[in-house]
Amino acid sequence: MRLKSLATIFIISICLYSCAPTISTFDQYAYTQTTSLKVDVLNVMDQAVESYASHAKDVEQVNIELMKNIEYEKHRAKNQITIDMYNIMWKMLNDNTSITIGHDTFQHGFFSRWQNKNTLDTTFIGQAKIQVGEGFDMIAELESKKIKPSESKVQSFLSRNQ
Amino acid sequence: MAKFNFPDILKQLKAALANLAETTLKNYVSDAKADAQNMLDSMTAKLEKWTGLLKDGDLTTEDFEWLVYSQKDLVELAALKQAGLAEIRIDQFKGSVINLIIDTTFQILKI
Repeated sequence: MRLKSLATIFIISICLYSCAPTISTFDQYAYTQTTSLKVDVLNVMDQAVESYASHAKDVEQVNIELMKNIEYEKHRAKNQITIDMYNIMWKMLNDNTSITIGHDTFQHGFFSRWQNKNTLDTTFIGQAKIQVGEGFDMIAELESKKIKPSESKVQSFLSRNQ
Repeated sequence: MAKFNFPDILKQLKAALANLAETTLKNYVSDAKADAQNMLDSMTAKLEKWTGLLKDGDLTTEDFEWLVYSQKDLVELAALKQAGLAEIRIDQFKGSVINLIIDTTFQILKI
């Protein structure tokens, strides 16, 4: 009987350790904000055929949106992966680091490169938008595949531990 | 109830868990070779497109370099996303682990 109790304690200990979620649950607001930001960023990128100076306010505005999203994600528990992903997106758009590869030196971030070159070519913008769009899609896809708080397993876990 | 031998239970649990991990998580265990291959696969169509645009003069060398370099960011994002999805899968895996521990223990104890 004593051994059975020990076995029960062993099982309960493993349960308590194993049941804690390792990643945040799905958040509809975060998902909506990511997809909305993607559209806004891509729209501003389209403007890069014109001078950076004439759209500096648009870039600033979309960067504020981006910062708000990052700030929101920072305050969600167990959300480091999404934060890291957003930080990469920030660099992809705004990193001013000069990269020297092949024959040229260019700014890492799309907006930084736009500012440096003043205008960018339509074909390049189109391809760059695909790259940036894919980045946002990956953040949104990860969010959409997180466990939904309404799922029965989560509800059952919460009710057992309240 | 069957005779209780905890080391035996533990041994059987370990074997069952190893089997569960192998069958459930095998798709998430990647090595450097697979990563490199995936990276190349993820770029192949784009590289073909960008090379064509470069050849036709629709992209400058600098445009081309920026695009290829940006793929590095996407590969990092994909790795993070995969890690995130693996964590989600592991969460689900944990549920299976709990069931397996309980079922196996009860089976051995004939409860």
